[in-house]
Amino acid sequence: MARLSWLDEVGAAAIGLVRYAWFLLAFLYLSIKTPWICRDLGQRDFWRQVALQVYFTAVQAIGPVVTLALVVGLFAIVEGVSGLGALSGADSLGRTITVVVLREVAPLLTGIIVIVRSVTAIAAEIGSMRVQREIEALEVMGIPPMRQLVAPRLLGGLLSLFGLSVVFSAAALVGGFAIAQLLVSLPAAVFLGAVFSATSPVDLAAFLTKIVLGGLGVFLIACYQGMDVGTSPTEVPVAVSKAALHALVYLVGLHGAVTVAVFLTGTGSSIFMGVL
Amino acid sequence: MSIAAAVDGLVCEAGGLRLRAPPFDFMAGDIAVFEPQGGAAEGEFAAAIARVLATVAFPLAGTLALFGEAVAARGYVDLLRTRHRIGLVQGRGGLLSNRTLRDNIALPIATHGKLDARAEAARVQALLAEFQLERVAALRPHEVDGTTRFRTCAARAVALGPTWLVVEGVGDFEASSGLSATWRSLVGRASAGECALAACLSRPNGALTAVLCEVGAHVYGCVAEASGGTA
Repeated sequence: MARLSWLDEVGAAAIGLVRYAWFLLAFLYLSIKTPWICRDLGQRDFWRQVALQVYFTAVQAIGPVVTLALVVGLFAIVEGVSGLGALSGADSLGRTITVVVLREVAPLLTGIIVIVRSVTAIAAEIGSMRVQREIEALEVMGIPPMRQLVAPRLLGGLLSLFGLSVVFSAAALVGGFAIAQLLVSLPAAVFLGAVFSATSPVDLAAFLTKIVLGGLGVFLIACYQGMDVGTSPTEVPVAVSKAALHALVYLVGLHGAVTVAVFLTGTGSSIFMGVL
Repeated sequence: MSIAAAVDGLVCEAGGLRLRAPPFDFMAGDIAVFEPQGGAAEGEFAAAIARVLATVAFPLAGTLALFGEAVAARGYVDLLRTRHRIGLVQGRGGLLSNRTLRDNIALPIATHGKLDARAEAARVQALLAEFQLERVAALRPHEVDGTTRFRTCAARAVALGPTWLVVEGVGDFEASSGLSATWRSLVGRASAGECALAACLSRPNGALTAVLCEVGAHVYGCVAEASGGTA
């Protein structure tokens, strides 16, 4: 009986997970379909919402992202030099920076910053709008909330995550290069040449996959949790907490899956072997 | 004159109560007051009825037909396209809190109005003037009092010239001096035949009902019973 109960719980959790994933996919479908259906409505406000989301998510986060990137660049280069030996050359440093920063850390840390700042904010904002009957007001005005609230946040969030990841990578490279100058004498052209030559199409594909799927997923979860709020204000903090946690689990899981997939390809494993 | 709204056997739920609305047909120019019979239902009564009448919630039972077609039979897109003909003045909340009162009123016009920027601004300005909101137009909803929010909701609801106007709650009704400017604007539109007006009250308000009856309103009592009751 106890085993049955345990199995029940596992089964219920699995079914719950599948249902949740299914709801999110349906939510994504609607967030793409609804703006298309309503493309004859005024577009000015839609693009204003997208621009605002980029401002809140990307522009306002540039400071913390650059700071973090410089520190990560420092870590990567120090660990690279100490692990490989200062004389192992620019190629090894370039590969270290490429693999650690561009493919792994940049999308992950940027995603975490976005979750902390924007996913929580979006869930709280949409949840509050639900409680304050603002979403109902949009509906009665013939403005679908999926088009007015969800789609601009998905699009703006995705653009922001991409932009922030590029900024993070660039700042980490600059920081890494500055530190490398102190530890080993490396001409900029050699360092950058090593970084670019170590960057394979697989690395770029992994980077973009993590950005696109990661961005879509975390912002989708934020909007879904916000829209799932009922009529009580006490549901808003619960939605925020769920959104942050689910987005974090999703992001880390996605990054793990992509990294393993890249590792299992020849290019990825050869890069790892080259580094190690 | 075509029927704006027709209700038959409508049942909806609010705050543990089940509400049954009487059947009625509405033409443009009609004014109706919905109030709980016997004063038993309060709280969300007005919101529950208003949501159903404004098509943002489905009733538990019964049918609502707007502009000649049952709401439940319409697809989502079709219903969406109908909604610019419906105005809902919410009694609580409803204004977008991250926009100024002016932007709240401008939103439906910018989305559906197909006007150029100048015509749109002129339309918004006219509504601000009509509902005495010019002085507070640049403020956000949390910075103004309840009656100002009600006026803004009313201005936004009539922005696209709806033919079916649902007002929830009493708003800024002034019992001592009769209808307030907001109510006069709303009732004036109905009296002019521009729309049918349904006022949903959370509790019987004799003063408002009396004033509305003077301009030809019909009063519909809604039976409220415990949720477990038979619809």
